[in-house]
Amino acid sequence: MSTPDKLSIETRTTGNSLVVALDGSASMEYCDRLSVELMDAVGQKPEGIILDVSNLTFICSLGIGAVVATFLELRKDRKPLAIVAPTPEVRDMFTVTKLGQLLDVYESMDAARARVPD
Amino acid sequence: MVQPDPNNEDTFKEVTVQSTLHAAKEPEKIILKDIEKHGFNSDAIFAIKLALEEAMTNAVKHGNRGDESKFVHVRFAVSSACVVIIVRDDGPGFDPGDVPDPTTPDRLSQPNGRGIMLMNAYMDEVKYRDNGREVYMLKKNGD
Repeated sequence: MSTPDKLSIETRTTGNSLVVALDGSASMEYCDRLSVELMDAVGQKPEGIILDVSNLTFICSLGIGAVVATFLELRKDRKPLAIVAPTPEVRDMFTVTKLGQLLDVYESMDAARARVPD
Repeated sequence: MVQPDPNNEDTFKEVTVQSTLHAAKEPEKIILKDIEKHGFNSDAIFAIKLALEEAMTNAVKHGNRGDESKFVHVRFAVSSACVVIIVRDDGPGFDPGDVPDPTTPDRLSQPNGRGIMLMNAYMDEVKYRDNGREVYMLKKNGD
Protein backbone atom coordinates (compact mmCIF):
# COMPACT_ATOMS: atom_id res chain seq x y z
CA MET A 1 0.00 0.00 0.00
CA SER A 2 2.88 2.41 0.61
CA THR A 3 4.24 1.88 -2.89
CA PRO A 4 3.89 5.01 -5.01
CA ASP A 5 0.40 5.60 -6.39
CA LYS A 6 -0.02 5.35 -10.14
CA LEU A 7 -3.08 5.54 -12.33
CA SER A 8 -3.28 4.23 -15.86
CA ILE A 9 -6.26 5.31 -17.98
CA GLU A 10 -6.85 3.50 -21.27
CA THR A 11 -9.71 4.32 -23.62
CA ARG A 12 -10.67 2.04 -26.47
CA THR A 13 -13.54 1.96 -28.92
CA THR A 14 -15.93 -0.95 -29.09
CA GLY A 15 -18.44 -0.41 -31.88
CA ASN A 16 -20.08 2.96 -31.19
CA SER A 17 -19.26 2.86 -27.48
CA LEU A 18 -16.13 3.39 -25.43
CA VAL A 19 -14.44 1.33 -22.77
CA VAL A 20 -12.37 3.33 -20.27
CA ALA A 21 -10.17 1.08 -18.15
CA LEU A 22 -8.67 2.39 -14.91
CA ASP A 23 -5.68 0.57 -13.45
CA GLY A 24 -4.07 1.56 -10.16
CA SER A 25 -4.98 4.22 -7.64
CA ALA A 26 -7.23 7.20 -8.39
CA SER A 27 -5.72 9.27 -5.62
CA MET A 28 -6.03 13.02 -5.33
CA GLU A 29 -3.12 14.03 -7.58
CA TYR A 30 -4.52 12.05 -10.54
CA CYS A 31 -8.14 13.13 -10.39
CA ASP A 32 -7.79 16.22 -12.56
CA ARG A 33 -6.37 14.01 -15.31
CA LEU A 34 -9.08 11.42 -14.71
CA SER A 35 -11.74 14.10 -15.02
CA VAL A 36 -10.24 15.46 -18.25
CA GLU A 37 -9.95 12.01 -19.83
CA LEU A 38 -13.49 11.03 -18.90
CA MET A 39 -14.86 14.29 -20.30
CA ASP A 40 -12.81 13.74 -23.46
CA ALA A 41 -14.49 10.35 -23.76
CA VAL A 42 -17.94 11.93 -23.34
CA GLY A 43 -16.98 14.53 -25.95
CA GLN A 44 -16.50 11.75 -28.52
CA LYS A 45 -20.29 11.27 -28.36
CA PRO A 46 -20.29 7.50 -27.85
CA GLU A 47 -23.50 5.52 -27.49
CA GLY A 48 -22.37 4.75 -23.95
CA ILE A 49 -19.28 4.32 -21.79
CA ILE A 50 -18.17 1.22 -19.94
CA LEU A 51 -15.89 2.14 -17.04
CA ASP A 52 -13.77 -0.90 -16.22
CA VAL A 53 -12.64 -0.51 -12.60
CA SER A 54 -11.64 -4.14 -12.05
CA ASN A 55 -8.01 -3.09 -11.51
CA LEU A 56 -8.77 0.10 -9.59
CA THR A 57 -7.41 -0.32 -6.07
CA PHE A 58 -8.36 3.08 -4.66
CA ILE A 59 -10.50 6.09 -5.47
CA CYS A 60 -10.87 9.30 -3.46
CA SER A 61 -13.91 11.59 -3.43
CA LEU A 62 -12.44 13.70 -6.25
CA GLY A 63 -12.31 10.57 -8.40
CA ILE A 64 -15.85 9.64 -7.43
CA GLY A 65 -16.86 13.16 -8.39
CA ALA A 66 -15.27 12.71 -11.83
CA VAL A 67 -17.27 9.49 -12.33
CA VAL A 68 -20.53 11.15 -11.21
CA ALA A 69 -19.88 14.13 -13.51
CA THR A 70 -19.38 11.69 -16.40
CA PHE A 71 -22.65 9.97 -15.56
CA LEU A 72 -24.46 13.33 -15.53
CA GLU A 73 -23.01 14.41 -18.88
CA LEU A 74 -24.01 11.13 -20.54
CA ARG A 75 -27.46 11.28 -18.98
CA LYS A 76 -28.15 14.59 -20.71
CA ASP A 77 -28.10 12.63 -24.01
CA ARG A 78 -29.77 9.54 -22.46
CA LYS A 79 -26.56 7.54 -22.85
CA PRO A 80 -25.56 4.93 -20.27
CA LEU A 81 -22.49 4.69 -18.05
CA ALA A 82 -21.76 1.17 -16.87
CA ILE A 83 -19.31 0.55 -14.03
CA VAL A 84 -17.67 -2.86 -14.28
CA ALA A 85 -16.29 -5.15 -11.59
CA PRO A 86 -15.32 -2.85 -8.72
CA THR A 87 -12.90 -4.30 -6.21
CA PRO A 88 -14.40 -4.95 -2.75
CA GLU A 89 -12.87 -1.72 -1.41
CA VAL A 90 -14.29 0.43 -4.21
CA ARG A 91 -17.64 -1.37 -4.03
CA ASP A 92 -17.75 -0.61 -0.30
CA MET A 93 -17.21 3.08 -1.05
CA PHE A 94 -20.13 3.02 -3.50
CA THR A 95 -22.23 1.47 -0.74
CA VAL A 96 -21.17 4.04 1.88
CA THR A 97 -21.84 6.95 -0.49
CA LYS A 98 -25.07 5.29 -1.76
CA LEU A 99 -23.82 5.71 -5.32
CA GLY A 100 -25.04 2.20 -6.05
CA GLN A 101 -28.49 3.84 -6.15
CA LEU A 102 -27.34 6.24 -8.87
CA LEU A 103 -24.83 4.35 -10.97
CA ASP A 104 -25.27 1.04 -12.81
CA VAL A 105 -22.68 -1.40 -11.48
CA TYR A 106 -22.07 -4.74 -13.22
CA GLU A 107 -20.10 -7.79 -12.17
CA SER A 108 -18.66 -8.51 -15.59
CA MET A 109 -17.81 -6.90 -18.91
CA ASP A 110 -20.35 -9.17 -20.62
CA ALA A 111 -23.12 -7.93 -18.33
CA ALA A 112 -22.14 -4.32 -19.01
CA ARG A 113 -22.00 -4.88 -22.76
CA ALA A 114 -25.57 -6.14 -22.64
CA ARG A 115 -26.56 -2.72 -21.22
CA VAL A 116 -24.36 -0.46 -23.35
CA PRO A 117 -25.05 -0.64 -27.09
CA ASP A 118 -22.15 -1.37 -29.44
CA MET B 1 13.93 11.10 22.25
CA VAL B 2 10.27 10.91 23.28
CA GLN B 3 8.29 8.33 21.31
CA PRO B 4 5.16 9.70 19.61
CA ASP B 5 2.14 8.76 21.71
CA PRO B 6 -1.42 8.95 20.29
CA ASN B 7 -2.63 9.95 23.76
CA ASN B 8 -0.22 12.87 24.07
CA GLU B 9 -0.31 15.45 21.28
CA ASP B 10 2.85 17.08 22.63
CA THR B 11 4.80 14.05 21.35
CA PHE B 12 3.39 13.99 17.81
CA LYS B 13 5.56 14.05 14.70
CA GLU B 14 4.85 16.99 12.39
CA VAL B 15 5.06 17.45 8.63
CA THR B 16 4.23 20.77 6.96
CA VAL B 17 3.77 20.93 3.19
CA GLN B 18 2.88 23.51 0.58
CA SER B 19 -0.83 23.65 -0.12
CA THR B 20 -0.94 21.64 -3.36
CA LEU B 21 -2.37 18.19 -4.05
CA HIS B 22 1.05 16.92 -5.13
CA ALA B 23 2.81 18.15 -1.98
CA ALA B 24 -0.07 16.80 0.08
CA LYS B 25 1.03 13.26 -0.81
CA GLU B 26 4.20 13.55 1.26
CA PRO B 27 2.61 13.16 4.73
CA GLU B 28 0.55 10.26 3.38
CA LYS B 29 3.67 8.36 2.31
CA ILE B 30 5.28 8.88 5.70
CA ILE B 31 2.20 7.93 7.72
CA LEU B 32 1.35 4.85 5.63
CA LYS B 33 4.89 3.58 6.01
CA ASP B 34 4.63 4.07 9.76
CA ILE B 35 1.30 2.28 10.14
CA GLU B 36 2.52 -0.65 8.05
CA LYS B 37 5.47 -0.98 10.43
CA HIS B 38 2.97 -1.16 13.29
CA GLY B 39 1.09 -4.05 11.69
CA PHE B 40 -2.18 -2.37 10.71
CA ASN B 41 -4.30 -4.62 8.48
CA SER B 42 -5.09 -3.81 4.86
CA ASP B 43 -8.64 -2.61 5.60
CA ALA B 44 -7.36 -0.14 8.19
CA ILE B 45 -4.61 1.03 5.85
CA PHE B 46 -7.16 1.64 3.09
CA ALA B 47 -9.38 3.58 5.52
CA ILE B 48 -6.51 5.73 6.79
CA LYS B 49 -5.26 6.47 3.27
CA LEU B 50 -8.77 7.46 2.20
CA ALA B 51 -9.47 9.67 5.22
CA LEU B 52 -6.07 11.34 4.96
CA GLU B 53 -6.57 12.06 1.24
CA GLU B 54 -9.96 13.57 2.00
CA ALA B 55 -8.60 15.69 4.85
CA MET B 56 -5.68 16.91 2.71
CA THR B 57 -7.95 17.63 -0.25
CA ASN B 58 -10.29 19.61 1.99
CA ALA B 59 -7.35 21.54 3.45
CA VAL B 60 -5.90 22.41 0.02
CA LYS B 61 -9.09 23.09 -1.93
CA HIS B 62 -11.53 24.36 0.69
CA GLY B 63 -9.52 25.41 3.75
CA ASN B 64 -6.71 27.17 1.91
CA ARG B 65 -8.95 27.76 -1.12
CA GLY B 66 -6.30 26.75 -3.63
CA ASP B 67 -3.81 29.35 -2.40
CA GLU B 68 -0.42 27.69 -3.02
CA SER B 69 1.34 30.25 -0.80
CA LYS B 70 -0.37 28.65 2.19
CA PHE B 71 0.54 25.45 4.00
CA VAL B 72 -1.02 22.29 5.39
CA HIS B 73 0.26 21.09 8.74
CA VAL B 74 -0.01 17.40 9.63
CA ARG B 75 0.70 15.99 13.08
CA PHE B 76 0.45 12.29 13.81
CA ALA B 77 1.33 9.49 16.16
CA VAL B 78 1.12 5.76 15.59
CA SER B 79 1.11 2.94 18.10
CA SER B 80 0.25 -0.73 17.70
CA ALA B 81 -3.22 0.15 19.02
CA CYS B 82 -4.18 3.17 16.93
CA VAL B 83 -3.14 6.09 14.79
CA VAL B 84 -4.10 9.72 15.39
CA ILE B 85 -3.75 12.22 12.55
CA ILE B 86 -4.41 15.95 12.86
CA VAL B 87 -4.60 18.04 9.68
CA ARG B 88 -4.61 21.81 9.93
CA ASP B 89 -4.90 24.43 7.21
CA ASP B 90 -4.20 28.17 7.12
CA GLY B 91 -7.70 29.12 6.00
CA PRO B 92 -10.55 30.92 7.75
CA GLY B 93 -12.25 27.74 8.97
CA PHE B 94 -15.75 26.40 8.40
CA ASP B 95 -18.68 24.89 10.24
CA PRO B 96 -18.91 21.17 9.42
CA GLY B 97 -22.57 21.37 10.40
CA ASP B 98 -23.14 23.50 7.31
CA VAL B 99 -21.98 20.72 4.97
CA PRO B 100 -25.04 18.91 3.60
CA ASP B 101 -25.44 15.14 3.65
CA PRO B 102 -24.34 13.98 0.17
CA THR B 103 -26.38 10.76 0.39
CA THR B 104 -29.83 12.35 0.41
CA PRO B 105 -31.79 11.78 -2.84
CA ASP B 106 -31.61 15.45 -3.82
CA ARG B 107 -27.81 15.56 -3.42
CA LEU B 108 -26.84 12.07 -4.58
CA SER B 109 -26.07 13.24 -8.11
CA GLN B 110 -23.85 16.14 -6.98
CA PRO B 111 -20.26 15.51 -8.13
CA ASN B 112 -18.76 17.03 -4.96
CA GLY B 113 -19.19 17.00 -1.19
CA ARG B 114 -18.42 13.42 -0.17
CA GLY B 115 -15.09 13.93 1.59
CA ILE B 116 -16.34 14.61 5.09
CA MET B 117 -18.83 11.75 5.07
CA LEU B 118 -16.12 9.33 3.86
CA MET B 119 -13.81 10.43 6.68
CA ASN B 120 -16.62 9.89 9.18
CA ALA B 121 -17.47 6.49 7.71
CA TYR B 122 -13.95 5.10 7.59
CA MET B 123 -12.37 6.48 10.78
CA ASP B 124 -13.29 5.65 14.37
CA GLU B 125 -13.26 9.28 15.51
CA VAL B 126 -13.36 12.53 13.55
CA LYS B 127 -13.50 15.87 15.35
CA TYR B 128 -13.24 19.42 14.04
CA ARG B 129 -11.41 21.95 16.15
CA ASP B 130 -10.50 25.64 16.05
CA ASN B 131 -13.52 26.65 13.99
CA GLY B 132 -12.92 23.87 11.46
CA ARG B 133 -9.32 24.77 10.66
CA GLU B 134 -8.16 21.50 12.18
CA VAL B 135 -9.50 17.97 11.87
CA TYR B 136 -8.57 15.24 14.38
CA MET B 137 -8.92 11.65 13.18
CA LEU B 138 -8.36 8.39 15.04
CA LYS B 139 -8.30 4.87 13.65
CA LYS B 140 -7.92 1.82 15.84
CA ASN B 141 -5.77 -1.06 14.64
CA GLY B 142 -7.83 -4.13 13.78
CA ASP B 143 -11.04 -2.31 12.88
